[in-house]
Amino acid sequence: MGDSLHDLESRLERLVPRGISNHGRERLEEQIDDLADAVTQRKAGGRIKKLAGVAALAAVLAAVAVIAGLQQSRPKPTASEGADAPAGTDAGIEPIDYLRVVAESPSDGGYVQGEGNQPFRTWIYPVREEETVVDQQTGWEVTIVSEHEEKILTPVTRF
Amino acid sequence: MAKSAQHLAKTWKEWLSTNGSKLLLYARQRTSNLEDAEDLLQDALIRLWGYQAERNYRPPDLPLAYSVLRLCAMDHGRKTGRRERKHRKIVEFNAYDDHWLDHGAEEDEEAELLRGAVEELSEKLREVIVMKVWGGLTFAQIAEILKISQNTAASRYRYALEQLEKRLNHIKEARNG
Repeated sequence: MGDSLHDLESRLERLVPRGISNHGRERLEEQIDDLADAVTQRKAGGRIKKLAGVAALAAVLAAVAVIAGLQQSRPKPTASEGADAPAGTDAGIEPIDYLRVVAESPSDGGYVQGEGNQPFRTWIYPVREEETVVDQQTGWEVTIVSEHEEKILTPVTRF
Repeated sequence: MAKSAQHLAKTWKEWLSTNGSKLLLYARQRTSNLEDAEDLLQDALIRLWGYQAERNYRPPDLPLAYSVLRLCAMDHGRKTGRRERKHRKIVEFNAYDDHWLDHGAEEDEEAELLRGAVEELSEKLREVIVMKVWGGLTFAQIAEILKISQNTAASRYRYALEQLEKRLNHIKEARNG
């Protein structure tokens, strides 16, 4: 590349991109706050669902153990192992793996009206969660797969 | 807002503070006005957030951001049907001081001419200039974003500079009579 083009490059670099408008920056930062809040809420919801899933899985594992005739082979619980806990509860059920996959590209869920007639655009993300737990006494592992959609709303200023 | 959400938001806001202007410049040269460009940037931000979910929501690297912004711009162009009006609007917005670039330290007339010349480049040449000069991307990164070879990216950049130089010389000759 010749000197004149190098010189032109330097002159271009001295031009400065205009910044985001104040209103635009506020909007983007609010969007970031909303997205970050949604992540925290989903994680909290995931933990609650996980505990519910563990209880459900405990019932499944207990049922499987009865059907397979494994109840007879289980050692009787001693006082130190929580003998007061009845069979079929989540005693001895341990979560070992949790996977959450969010789709890369959201689908456009169209426009909705929010508070104060503010229009919002809806983005829909398919989410897949897999929880694996193990019954420590029998060694059985169970994986529950659940799929759902999560929506993110963004305020619309122009159509 | 919980502490982890605060931290997450803070990292992304810092990323936006560092890279927002560069990305807005790209969005601006793909749309017909500042508001559309900021809408585009917001759409891209949401998509990038989704992509980064598998990476613990850390802010994206710049090539990915440009790539997503470009996809959003293509979607935007298809949906709004404004592409055919974009070139006409470039001249109009110049008249209303709706420029994409500021002079910076350069106050002279030549900087003004250069700014106008950049804004009048064809879309193909303009986006390479924008990504290379102000985005700081390498030709390899630009090639990946545009799905072209590295040589083509470099050639397009050189050709864009030559077109700018030609345009400036032409304007100076016209003014000098």
